[in-house]
Amino acid sequence: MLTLNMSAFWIVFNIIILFILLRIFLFKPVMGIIEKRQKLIQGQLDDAENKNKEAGELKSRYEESLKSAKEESFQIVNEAKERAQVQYAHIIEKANDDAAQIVQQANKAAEADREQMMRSAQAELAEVALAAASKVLGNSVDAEANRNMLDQFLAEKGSDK
Amino acid sequence: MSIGEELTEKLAYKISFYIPLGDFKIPVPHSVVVTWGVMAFLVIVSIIFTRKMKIVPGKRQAFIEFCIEKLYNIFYDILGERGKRYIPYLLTVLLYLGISNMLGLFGIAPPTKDLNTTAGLALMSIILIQYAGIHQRGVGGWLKHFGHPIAMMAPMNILELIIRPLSLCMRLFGNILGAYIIMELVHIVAPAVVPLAAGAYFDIFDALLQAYVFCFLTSLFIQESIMDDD
Repeated sequence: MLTLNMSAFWIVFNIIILFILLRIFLFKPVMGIIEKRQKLIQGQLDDAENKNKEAGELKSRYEESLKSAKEESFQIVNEAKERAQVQYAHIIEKANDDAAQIVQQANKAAEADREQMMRSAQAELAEVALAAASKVLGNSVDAEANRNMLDQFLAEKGSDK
Repeated sequence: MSIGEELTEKLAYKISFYIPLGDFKIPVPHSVVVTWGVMAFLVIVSIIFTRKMKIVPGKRQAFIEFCIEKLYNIFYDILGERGKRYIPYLLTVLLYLGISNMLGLFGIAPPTKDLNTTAGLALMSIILIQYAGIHQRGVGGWLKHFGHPIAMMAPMNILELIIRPLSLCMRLFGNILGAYIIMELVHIVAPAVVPLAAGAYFDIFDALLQAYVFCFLTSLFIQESIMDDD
């Protein structure tokens, strides 16, 4: 029952063999697969985090570009407005100038017409008067002298007016 | 045959056969043959359970992973990062003792009821404990550690080199032998229902408890020999 002898070394030998066998067939595969899974999950988590970060960056970049686009469009509209304003002012000015010129020209033409008319009326009137006078005085009147006299008269009357 | 004679025969130290080696014959005790059986069983079960391991585990693989991880963590909690290299050995011993101690359940004499088996295991434990100390501190640090915490304690610490394996060896041996004797007596006296209840305690609870205690104490001693002095 209580026998202690050299066969104690059997168990040493056996346990070492068992240790080696279990290491090959149990601990290594199980620990290996657990480690592999841990690595895989860790990798996936890291990947997800990276993608999240990337997405965040992309988003902020898009937002920024959107903002700048808005600003740009605003600026473009403003510029267009300004340009339109300038053009508008320019056109109005030109129109005003043109209108003024036209009015001036019309005035000038009217003046000239009036003068012309006046002059022809004067001439006609002189002739009518001369004809009337020569009718009254007969043909004795010197045509040249009478005309001069009449012109003088008319000029006096005209200046009186 | 009286009960005493029957019991004595059951408890006798048996040599199963001899391995001839020239003039010399190596005796192979019964406990060694049983140990080979336990080893074969453990290896075959391991191979069955770890066949075709996948990242996404099936039920079989999940079960073995769960078991190994739980057992691993028991020792990891004691030994920590520094001592985790000794865990596979402790698990080997734990599995071997767990199966061996329970063999009484199947009417096979447990190899741990042979003093040679437990003595061999205790010898390995004390060598491993000292090796762990040397590996962690170097030979000088290991020698110096005998004078820890004060130089006066050196004789006690040296005595521990004998006391620790002796207590490990005798505790396991005594428990399993005692359980075996009681179970044999119960079988002789009341062969019907009583062995079932008694077997549940002696062959399952006590058997697993002793396997755990042996490995737990070994890991505790290893931890003590590798921890920092403060």
